[in-house]
Amino acid sequence: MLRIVRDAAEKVRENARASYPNECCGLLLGKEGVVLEAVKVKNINTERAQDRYEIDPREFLMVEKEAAKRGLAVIGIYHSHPDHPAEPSEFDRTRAWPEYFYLIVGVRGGRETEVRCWRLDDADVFVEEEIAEK
Amino acid sequence: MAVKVRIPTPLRKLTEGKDEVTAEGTTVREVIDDLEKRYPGIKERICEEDGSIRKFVNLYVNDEDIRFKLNLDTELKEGDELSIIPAIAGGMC
Repeated sequence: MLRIVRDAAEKVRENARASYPNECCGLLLGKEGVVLEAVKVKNINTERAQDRYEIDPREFLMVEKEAAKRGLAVIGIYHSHPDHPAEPSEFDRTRAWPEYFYLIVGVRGGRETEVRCWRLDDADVFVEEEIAEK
Repeated sequence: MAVKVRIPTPLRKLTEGKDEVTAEGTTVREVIDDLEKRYPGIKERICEEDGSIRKFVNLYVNDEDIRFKLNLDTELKEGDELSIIPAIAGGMC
């Protein structure tokens, strides 16, 4: 289960709406399995911004270092699927890392339709995780 | 010579949950070999079987990508920090 504070969840949804028709992406910071903050980052895949995202490793490092100073860690990644369900694609799966929570926002016509969370199991298959917003 | 190594969340199972560890070596290659001695199994998550860096792993010395330096032969000095950074990407198709 992914537990996420309301402000962070709202920030993810807002980012997904504002980025439409492009994909948004960001990092989920937290501790003990609870997401406390969502940090929007740049999508460096500008050629295919409508259906792909890629995070700049340098920006990832900066966010992670800053989070570590506050006792937080990157525990997940979020991105949006414009005009597409919030289900991971095969490309999402092949590029996913274990342990991270992958939060996907489905957006249709600029409005979010659903937010779902996925995590790789030991066989590298995405398994849906329940989301508890608090 | 000891350097600090930053460990990303997906590899912390191998480092007893630590986000930062210490390893010995004067090049990135030596540090990775030393990491493997301390935390068995970590090298195969960073390197391919032929020893090259995995495609979806980035290694930074301080704020610089070692691919733009001397790769695994990049030298480290006292106080340097080696960061293992997962390459994060995806998308709906």
